[in-house]
Amino acid sequence: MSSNFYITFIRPHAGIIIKICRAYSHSQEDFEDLYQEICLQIWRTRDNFHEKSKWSTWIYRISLNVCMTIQKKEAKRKFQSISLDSVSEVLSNDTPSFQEESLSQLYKAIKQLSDVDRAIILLYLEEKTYKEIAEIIGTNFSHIGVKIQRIKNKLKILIK
Amino acid sequence: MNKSIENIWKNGYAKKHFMIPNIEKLYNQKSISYVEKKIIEFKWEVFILIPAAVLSFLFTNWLGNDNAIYWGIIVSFPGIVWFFIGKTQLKSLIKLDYQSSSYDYLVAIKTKLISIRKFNRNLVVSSCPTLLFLMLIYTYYKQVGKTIGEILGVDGLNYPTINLFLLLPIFTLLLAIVAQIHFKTVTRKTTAEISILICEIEELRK
Repeated sequence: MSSNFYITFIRPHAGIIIKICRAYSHSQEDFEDLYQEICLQIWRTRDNFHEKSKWSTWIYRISLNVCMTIQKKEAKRKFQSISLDSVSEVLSNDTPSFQEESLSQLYKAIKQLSDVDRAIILLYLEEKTYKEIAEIIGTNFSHIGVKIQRIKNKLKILIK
Repeated sequence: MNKSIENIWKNGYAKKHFMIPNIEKLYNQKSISYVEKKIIEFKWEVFILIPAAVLSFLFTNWLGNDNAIYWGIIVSFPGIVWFFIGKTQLKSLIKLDYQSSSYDYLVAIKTKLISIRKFNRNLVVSSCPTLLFLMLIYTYYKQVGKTIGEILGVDGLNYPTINLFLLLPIFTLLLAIVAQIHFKTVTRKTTAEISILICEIEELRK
């Protein structure tokens, strides 16, 4: 991967990757590994992108695929569960604010969801349309609305 | 404040600057993890030799032939020798310390793995005639005067005992073929995986 490719095509969307990685990682090290793996996967599959969708949608899709694949592998290895707090270090605020604490709590709740539910809610929070979510996840568009409502209810209970 | 999850998300990420992880040393961890995995596999191959040797010893004794204990020792002896050789090879692999370049590390591991596998293939193939020769000599002197059919309990094989030694090249050849197939499949698979990593690093450098 040339540094040009990274700077031009990946770095502007680093926020997307970071937000997703945070929902699928258990530690800072885990987070960095995931981030790197996603960057590599985007680079490896760059020729498969045919501009049918937005580049950012492509990045979402690859990121979620990588996270879910690694998650499945890690589940087999029974990954040690480390506090989520360490992952919040990826944000550059010095002291955790009220917002950051709430966000950490939200992530904690998101991490209790299944892999697919996690992906759906992340995309929903990123203000993707139902159509885009269905396209990225590879599922039926008509079910997304109901699914999101159920996940939101679940999250509300988990956050309380 | 409205504490909906949408607001938590929006406010949580508002005015934040992401600290993007450094991807300069992208392949370091990947290479180390891959090699660690291969070393664990190799460790299994080495340590399985001890129970295999013990089982061979017990099996030979269970057959209850003459001098079963001696034969048990002879049959299990190669397993013990291979175990110590394997341990030395394992040490030499672990000794290839990760320095600073994933590329050099992977190239060194690949070269080492190929040479180890080649050595092991030759060792197994050459051990076969040695071990078999001892067995045939013993059988020959023990059963001298009988036909092969009488020794093996098969009708129609009315050849003199000396023909037993024909088994030596036949078995060696068969083992050489099996060892070569194993060498090609296992070694090629591992080295191909390493080669992919090496190629990706080379492309990254472009």
